[in-house]
Amino acid sequence: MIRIAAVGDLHVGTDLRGRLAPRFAGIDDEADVLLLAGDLTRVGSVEEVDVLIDELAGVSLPKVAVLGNHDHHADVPAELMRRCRDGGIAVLEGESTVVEHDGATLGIAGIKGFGGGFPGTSLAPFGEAEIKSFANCTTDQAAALEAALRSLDTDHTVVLLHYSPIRETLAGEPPEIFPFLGSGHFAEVIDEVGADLVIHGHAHHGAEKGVTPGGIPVRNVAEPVIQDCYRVYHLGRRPVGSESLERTGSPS
Amino acid sequence: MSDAPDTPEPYIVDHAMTALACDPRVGLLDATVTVIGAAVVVSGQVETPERRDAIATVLTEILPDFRIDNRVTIAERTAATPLAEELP
Repeated sequence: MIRIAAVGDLHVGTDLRGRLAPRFAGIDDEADVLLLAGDLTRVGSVEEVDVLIDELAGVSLPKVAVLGNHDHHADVPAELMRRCRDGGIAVLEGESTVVEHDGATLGIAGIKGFGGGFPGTSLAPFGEAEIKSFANCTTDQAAALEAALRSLDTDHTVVLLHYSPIRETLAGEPPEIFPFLGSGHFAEVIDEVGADLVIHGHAHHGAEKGVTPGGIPVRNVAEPVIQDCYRVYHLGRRPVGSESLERTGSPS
Repeated sequence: MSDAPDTPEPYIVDHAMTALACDPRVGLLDATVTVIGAAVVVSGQVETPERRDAIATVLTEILPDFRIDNRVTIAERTAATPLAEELP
C-alpha cells in the first residue's frame, strides 16, 4: 500500500511564515509522499515560494508539485520551479516521477493543466488567433500529460493537475466560469492511458469527489474544499468493511 | 476615475473583484462582492488577518466614495489528523 497525502491551493504568502509548518508536523507518519496540486503561492513571487520551501523543509517525504495559475501571476514560473527543485520539491510540468515505497512503485504524471471547458461545450480552436491560442494551449498540455503518463511503468499511477479534468468536482462553482476551471481533454487522455487516481485543485467552491467518464477517481484537494491540512489516500489495499470507491463510469 | 454611488452596481462589483484578484497585496479570485446603497460588502475566506485587512485597504483605495463592509472571515488551519480514504 502507498499512502498519498495531497493538498492544493495553499496560496502561501510571506504572512504564512511560521504558520504553515505546524500543519505538516505529523505527515511523515501518515503518508509516503506529499502532492501539492498547484497555487503554491498567492501571487507567484519568489519571496512566497521561498516561504513554502522553508515551511516544508521539515517534511521528510518526497514532495511533488505542479504549479497553478497563481504561480504564474508574477511571470516568473521558471524561477519558482527552479527554487522548488533546489529546495527539495519536484515540480512536474508535463513530466513524471517515480516514488518507491516498501517495494512498490508509484508513478506521478503532472502538469498544471488549463481551461477550455468540457465535452459538449469545449472551446474549439476556431476563429480569432487568441481563441485558437487558448484552445491549443489546452490540447498541447493534454498531449504533454499523455506523454508523461505513457512514460510510466509502475505499480500505481497518479495524475497531478491544478485544473480540473471533469465537471463533477466543480459543482458549487458558478457554471459561467467552468471553462476557466478545467478541461475534459485531460480526462480523455487519462482514460485513454489509465491511472489509479487523479488529484487536482483550483476550484475552491467545488466538490471533493468525482470520477472520469472512464471511471477513474478524481479528487479536488483545494484547501478550501477539504477544509483541512491535507487528505491522505491509500492506494493498493482495500480492507474489508472500509470505504472504497468503485469505478462506476462506462469505459471509453 | 473611481466609481461613484450612481455607477451601475455590476460595474462596481466587477471593478472591485478585478482589483482584489490583481492587486499583489490581495490576489484573491473568489471573493463575493455586493453593493448595498453606499456600502460595498465583501465576503469570503482568507487565511490570515493581514490578508483580510489588505482587502479593506484595496477596496477603500479604489472606491473612496463607499463604505467598505468587510465580512471576510479567517480560516486558519491547524495541525490535525487528516481524513484518509482507501482506494482500490
